[in-house]
Amino acid sequence: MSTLPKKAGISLKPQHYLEILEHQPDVAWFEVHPENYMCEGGPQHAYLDAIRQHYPLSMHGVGASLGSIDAVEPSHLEQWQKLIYRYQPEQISEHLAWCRYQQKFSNDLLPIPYSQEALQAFSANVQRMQDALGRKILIENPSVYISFGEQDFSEGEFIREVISITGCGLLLDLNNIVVTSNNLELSPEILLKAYPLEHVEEIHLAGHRVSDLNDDKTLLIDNHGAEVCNAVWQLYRSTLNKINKPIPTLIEWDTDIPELDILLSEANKANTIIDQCFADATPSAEKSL
Amino acid sequence: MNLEELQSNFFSYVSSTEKKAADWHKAFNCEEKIERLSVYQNNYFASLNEVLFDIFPNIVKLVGEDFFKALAQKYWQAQPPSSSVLLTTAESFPIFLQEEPTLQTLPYIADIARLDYFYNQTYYAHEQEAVAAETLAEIPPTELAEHQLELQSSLIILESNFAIFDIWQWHSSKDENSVNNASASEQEHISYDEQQTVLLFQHQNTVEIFNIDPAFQKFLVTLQGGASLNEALHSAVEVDCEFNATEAVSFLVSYQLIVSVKHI
Repeated sequence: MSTLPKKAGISLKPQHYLEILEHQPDVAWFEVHPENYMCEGGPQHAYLDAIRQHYPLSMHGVGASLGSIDAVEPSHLEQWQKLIYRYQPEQISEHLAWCRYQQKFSNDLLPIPYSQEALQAFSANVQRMQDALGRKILIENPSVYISFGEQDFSEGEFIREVISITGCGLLLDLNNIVVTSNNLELSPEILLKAYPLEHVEEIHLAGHRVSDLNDDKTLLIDNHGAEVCNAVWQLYRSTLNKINKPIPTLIEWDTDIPELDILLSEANKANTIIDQCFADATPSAEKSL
Repeated sequence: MNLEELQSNFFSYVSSTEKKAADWHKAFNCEEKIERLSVYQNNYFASLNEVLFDIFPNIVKLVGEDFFKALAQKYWQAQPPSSSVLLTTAESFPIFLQEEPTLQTLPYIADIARLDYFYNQTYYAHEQEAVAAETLAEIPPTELAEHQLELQSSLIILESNFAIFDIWQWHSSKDENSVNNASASEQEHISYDEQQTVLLFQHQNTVEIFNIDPAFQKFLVTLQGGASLNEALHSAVEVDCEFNATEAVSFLVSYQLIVSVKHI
């Protein structure tokens, strides 16, 4: 089980290194993309070393390509191992997605069909990663723009199967739920219906961009470049109530990075919701899902 | 369609600029399928282009943002990244620029791109622990001359037939608007055909960059080849009889570039 504080953390961005070190803001934890630290040296290691001394840390990978038909690259896992040894993160995670075909990479996460074949390939890669790193990983649900049509599993069923096979945990990205449900013309409740919420160990909240499609439809683009919208905040509150326990929650921001205060303000909103949901919670009041 | 075929087709589509409704994409009408798939294409190129903008800032200033974006898209179409770690990717971009027909009027552009690339690579390099100046001072000069001096592995020497240091410095010191608005006279002092050699290394988490003369270049290259300090100094003097040995060694010590000394 995660040892991250069950409060809100924020993405750690180079633009904020100095301010964080100087003022040590009241934030529960930070999350980084390990790929941004997969290098021998440079200032970013010096900053992360210093910040790590004061805050819990989560590492959220984007490059393992666990959804590829090919096995996850051992060299990539070796880089992960080095970072885990150096920074001892409280939690590590990756994506239900792929970004590599043979030796060609996309810097964007691509969706996988929820088929038996994909389940076997993805689960095998999750297992390889967990074996190589010697610890449990969390898997994040994707944001999706297309449909593969009739599939063997719903998204929630697929994730449940992966968890059952590998023992991994779930990083529930609620912005991705809002984005995907809009884009596939489902309700968030329907999309979340089969999700194994009892395995949620981290939640992500982020902003998205609204893009017009033809026929008065909109497509939501998961750009991590805006404040969290009301629909995501509402889903966050209702999901916490369903899970019935506080969960470490990240304010995720990767593009158009704003002032640190904006991220801290978003984190405060998340903490307020956690406090409101669990103000009177006692262990006996927790109900099973 | 099995997963192998799907991922092969999907990747080919995403990394191209073609616009057609792929048969593995279901549920929506043809026009909408194309719009939805274009999100992946846009993300693919936008995120990779951003990587090139970060690594090659002075090429952006040389050719302008819009043209650079077009070049970047053409490059990534031809050569998708071969690693998910993009901090030091695009090693072949300078060669791509060198071979680009529309850039033949800028013969130095590939070397400026190499300098941007090496600057970025040096930024992410490991700075090894240096031999303390006090330790070096304890070795009598005549003895030190018989030692091999191992230099920082991040140290890079880039030789060019063009004035790459001057061109690079001029662009680095200006933002894009001031480059575009600069008068021709401001660039007149650059002798574009002057051969220059640039030295880069990491020092205390910053990248140091110098325009070095042929004798100092010879001195460094000879040291890197495993020769003794004495041999390296002699090789430099052969290039320039006025080579200042004391200054050269002081430079190495002051920038903590010597990581080990070994008696031969």
